[in-house]
Amino acid sequence: MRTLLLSASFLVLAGVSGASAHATFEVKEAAAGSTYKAVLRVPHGCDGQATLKVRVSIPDGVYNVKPMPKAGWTLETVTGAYAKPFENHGTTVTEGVREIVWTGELADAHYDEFVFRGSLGKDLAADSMLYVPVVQECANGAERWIQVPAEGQKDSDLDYPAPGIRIAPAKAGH
Amino acid sequence: MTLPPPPRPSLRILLRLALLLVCLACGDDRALAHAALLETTPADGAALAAAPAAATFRFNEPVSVAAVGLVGPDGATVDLAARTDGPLVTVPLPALPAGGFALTVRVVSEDGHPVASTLVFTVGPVDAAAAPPVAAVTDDPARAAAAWLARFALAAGLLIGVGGAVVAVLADPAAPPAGLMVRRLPSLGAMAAVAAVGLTGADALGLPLAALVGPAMARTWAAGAATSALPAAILALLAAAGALLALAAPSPVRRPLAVAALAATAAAFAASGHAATAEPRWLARGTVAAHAGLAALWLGALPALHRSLGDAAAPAGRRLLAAFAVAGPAGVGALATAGVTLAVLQGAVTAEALVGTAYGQVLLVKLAVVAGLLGLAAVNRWRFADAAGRDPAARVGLRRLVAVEIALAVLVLAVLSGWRFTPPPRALAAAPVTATLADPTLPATEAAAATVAVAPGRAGPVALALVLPPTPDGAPPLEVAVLLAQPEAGIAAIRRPAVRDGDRWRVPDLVLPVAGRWTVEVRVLVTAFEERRLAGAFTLR
Repeated sequence: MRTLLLSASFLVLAGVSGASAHATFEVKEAAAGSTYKAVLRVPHGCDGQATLKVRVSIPDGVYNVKPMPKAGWTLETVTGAYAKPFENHGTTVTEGVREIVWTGELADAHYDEFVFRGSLGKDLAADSMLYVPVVQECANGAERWIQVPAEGQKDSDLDYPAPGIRIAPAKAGH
Repeated sequence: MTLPPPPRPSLRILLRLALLLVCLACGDDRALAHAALLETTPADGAALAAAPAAATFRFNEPVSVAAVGLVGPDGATVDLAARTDGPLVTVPLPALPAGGFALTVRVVSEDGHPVASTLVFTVGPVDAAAAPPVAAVTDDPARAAAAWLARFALAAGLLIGVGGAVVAVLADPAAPPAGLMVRRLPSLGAMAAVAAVGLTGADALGLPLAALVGPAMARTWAAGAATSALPAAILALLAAAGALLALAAPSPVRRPLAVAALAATAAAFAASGHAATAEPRWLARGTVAAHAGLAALWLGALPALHRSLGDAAAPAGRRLLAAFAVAGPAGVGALATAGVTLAVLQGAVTAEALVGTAYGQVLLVKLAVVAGLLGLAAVNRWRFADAAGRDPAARVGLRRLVAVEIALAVLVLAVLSGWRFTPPPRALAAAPVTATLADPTLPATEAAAATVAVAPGRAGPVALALVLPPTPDGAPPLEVAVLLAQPEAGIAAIRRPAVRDGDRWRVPDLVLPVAGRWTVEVRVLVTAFEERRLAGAFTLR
């Protein structure tokens, strides 16, 4: 049921972001307290250069992050303490993955997806946006998808918006 | 004796019209320049973690330091010493405790104008409520009035007084002593020049008028003597002495003394004042000297003319009148040429600079009065000069108009003494524009704001310097980029990386092609994943 719901929301949102050349998530909405499978879509390199590294910073409010290994890419994670501990089925989780680094090569002419999974905290406010800063590093520099809109701004006002997901209200009974 | 026949009327009208038009753009310069402060280290308003060992002030032109005072958190002022290297002033600081400080540097630029600049900074953790002390700005109206009066008296004493003596002697070395005005004015000018030294000192130190004679007297006069007011005063004294000696001396040495007095007058004006320090320096100084020398001859001829017209029997009067009629147009032409050159050097040739700056407004008023003076001179020449040699009635009429001309000349000097208080447009143009940049996502606090300074504050190649707020962990930003745009003019963002330079970030090789309002956005990469954006706007002249 959830898959159906997410798929539906994806279809709705796909039209909006389909033409975008920004780094985005395939699924743009998830409920607080749910497990979210992030599919990060990397549409191009840095000014024509191949991407050599994809770095994802795990924002506060997300825990139990597990990246999916990727053929041809080395996978590393950086762990650290969470800003706030999470209660996960009776256990308290205080630290975990804070950054994921895939190292490999993605030509500018090619497209690829980078996948990880994580739990969204129950405290995340409904209808708020959760932004996940992503940096593509190339030989000649970096594309930093890290901009977060200020009050009154939209993603479209930004040159390098961070990919984000809208938090749907937590479902009762989970 | 008969006068040479004047040119045909149509030619004369054209000639005078051309002169008037040329003179509408001319300028004289006895004002003192204002050095513009370009930047300081630490930056003004900086919140420093540790006490700095020294502070620096960078100006747009070489300066000499008159006084440095540091006001600490306890409110007490400590006098400090400073090193000067051209336009850069370095103040070694004593060990400072935590708290707010106001460091005031009083400098005098080469042309003699004092400028006081205050740099406010805090050291260590400072309670937000405990604002840094602000140094008192002493702006004394009595001192300002005295400064204007001294300048006016100096100009009148040298140009009308010394000029009058020079003209009287040159016109007729055997003539009896000149009129009372010509005998008294040089001394007045000399006294004014001496007073100007003390007034410049008081101005430089920010002291009231009373400091010229009070307990601070030695310090005040020493500060004034360290400026270009001293050589100007010495030359003015020499000019006055030369003029008075020329009037009193035996005939053979009168002319050489008069010429020397004229040269000293020209040099006195070229020794100080902001026109004399415009670039190129040699041209500016030479032009000021020429302008002042010619003005002295013109204005000096008026009292001599007035006096000679009162004495029907004096052959010297007719000779003077004839000489004035012949040399006048050429002299005024040369005077106007020098004036235009100075106006160009001072940057006062655009309509905006003329109307929009106090300096330009003084120039316009001066030109209006000068135009009246020239018009009157033209009327004199047309209506009376031919007849005045013979007709007593015409002589009386001419004499009356010459008296009006003298009054107008005095008015011109009174007006141009107002330049004492107005920086020339070139100094204003060199001054930087600054803006505060705020992060819209953070509450508006001083600590979160950045400042941007663009120097010079006009369109063209500029140096852009940024002072960023401290990062939470004190680590320097990874990257800083500046985006400049003029959305109203359709200029999309010009993106330039900034380079770190001490406590500042600079954008090299930046050209902002048009004047007007520029929006500026600074993107600070705090960590690999965190960017801070600060936005604001500034207006280029």
